[in-house]
Parts: sequence; C-alpha cells; structure tokens
Amino acid sequence: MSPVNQISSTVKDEDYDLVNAIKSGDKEKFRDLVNKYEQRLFNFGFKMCGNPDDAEDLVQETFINVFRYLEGFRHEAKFRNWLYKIATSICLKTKRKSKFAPEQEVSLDEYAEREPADSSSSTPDWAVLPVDKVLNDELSGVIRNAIVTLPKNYRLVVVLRDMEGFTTEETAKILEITPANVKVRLHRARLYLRDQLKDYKGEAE
Amino acid sequence: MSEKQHMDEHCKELCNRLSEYIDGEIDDADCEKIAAHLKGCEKCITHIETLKKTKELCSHLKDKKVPETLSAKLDDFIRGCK
Repeated sequence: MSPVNQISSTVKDEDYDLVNAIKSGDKEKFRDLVNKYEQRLFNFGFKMCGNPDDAEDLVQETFINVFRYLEGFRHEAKFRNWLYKIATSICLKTKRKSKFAPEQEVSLDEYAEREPADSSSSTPDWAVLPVDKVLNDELSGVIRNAIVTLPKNYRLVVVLRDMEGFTTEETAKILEITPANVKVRLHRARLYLRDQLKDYKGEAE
Repeated sequence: MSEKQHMDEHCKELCNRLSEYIDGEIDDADCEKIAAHLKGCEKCITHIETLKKTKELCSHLKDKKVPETLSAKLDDFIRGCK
C-alpha cells in the first residue's frame, strides 16, 4: 500500500480532547462522556425499542462497548457517529420485539410506487396547525407507537435522520448502506408514518 | 394516454422524490420541475404538506427523562472502570 493510501483524515470534533483524555488514562473523564450522551442515547433507544427497560439495556450495553473499544477509536469519524454505530449494531442484534410491534412485520413494499392520495379530503388539522399547538401527549404517543411498528431497518433510518439529526451521508456510514438506500427507506418510512397519522383527529392544545 | 392518466403518472413520479425535495437533496433542475408542478396540483400540495409535517412532528418529539435506575447503573459501571 502506498503511503498516500495509509493516510486517513482525523476528525477533530467537539469530543476530540475528551476522548483523547480518556484514552490517555483519565478514566474520570468517561463520566463526562456518559453524562453528555446518556439522555440522547436513552431517547434513541426508547424510540427504537418502544419501552424504557429495553432502552436502558441498550444504553448500558452501548457504554460498555464504548469503554471496551475506545482505545481502538482513531477519530476517523466524529465520536458521536461512532457511538451511534455501536448503538445501532446492538439494536440490529437484539431479537426482542416491542410490545407494540405487530405479530407480523409490516411491509413497506406498497410505498415503492406511491401515488398521492385523492385531495377530496382536506388537509388534516395536525398538518395545518403549528407543531407546538398540535404535538400533545396523545399525538406523541400515536407517533411513537407508529415508529415501533416500522420494520427495524426503516425505523433506524427515520430515527437517525429525522429525530437524531444525522445527514444522509452520516446515516449511510452508520448503517453501512448507500446514501441512495437511506433516501429510499426514509421516504417509505415517512409515507408509512404519515398514513398512520392520517385519521388522527385529536384536540389541538 | 389521456391527460388525466398523464397527470397521474407525473404525480407518481414526483411523489417518489418528495422527501428528497423536502430535505433539499435534489438538483436545481428537478427542484424547479417539482416546484412548478406543485403550483398547479392540489393533490400533490396536500401530499407534500402532510409529509413535511410528519417529518417536523417526528423531529419535535419531547425527550423522555432518563430513569434514575439507569443513571445508578451507569454510575456503578463507571466506578468499576477505574
């Protein structure tokens, strides 16, 4: 291999110094890393698993793996992306299903060639009103329940893209799929979630 | 092909790219094509509005508080790491 091929760029992100301090032996700094990410990871897990117990297990297992493999982390990606790569791989290995998940996984094949629905029905209130007026506990529950009924490979994409704020490229790298594949899965997942909300007629706050 | 059938095919084709359009991940030419279509197609306007709002609602879900049991377990783990 030529020297040029051996060079990989170092990503100096906001966690660069913290991670290096831990790698240099300052284990107390690991607490800072945990404090920084436990809330986000727990919420990622809760959206993926649909219940707090499984989300707790996911967070614990993720941090155990971070601690175990941090020495080998070479800053080739942002730390946050590496952290979510670990968390998603744990999610993919977990066989347990959410209590909300249907017996048989829903198929999103029907969303492959979707024609817009007839406009005879008017745009629902939830799509017209501002988010802070419409997103109450009831609607949040409808969305959360719909998310856990998505097949896992679609659920991961919509959670990483629309909820955790990763870009298409970052999501592709985390999941080791192509950006085109991310876009296809994201679009179908959004169409599915939109359909689950279609008939929601809850009261606006 | 009738004009209506042609329109439906056109809607279907554009519909598959609406998420990319919403996310600003589409090239200028296609972006203009979709914007022009949206000016005259109520069906697609409703479609894109509901899709956009679905994305927005997902991104605004409130965070759940980390259970104390988890924080305690993580504390134990950190103490054991030293």
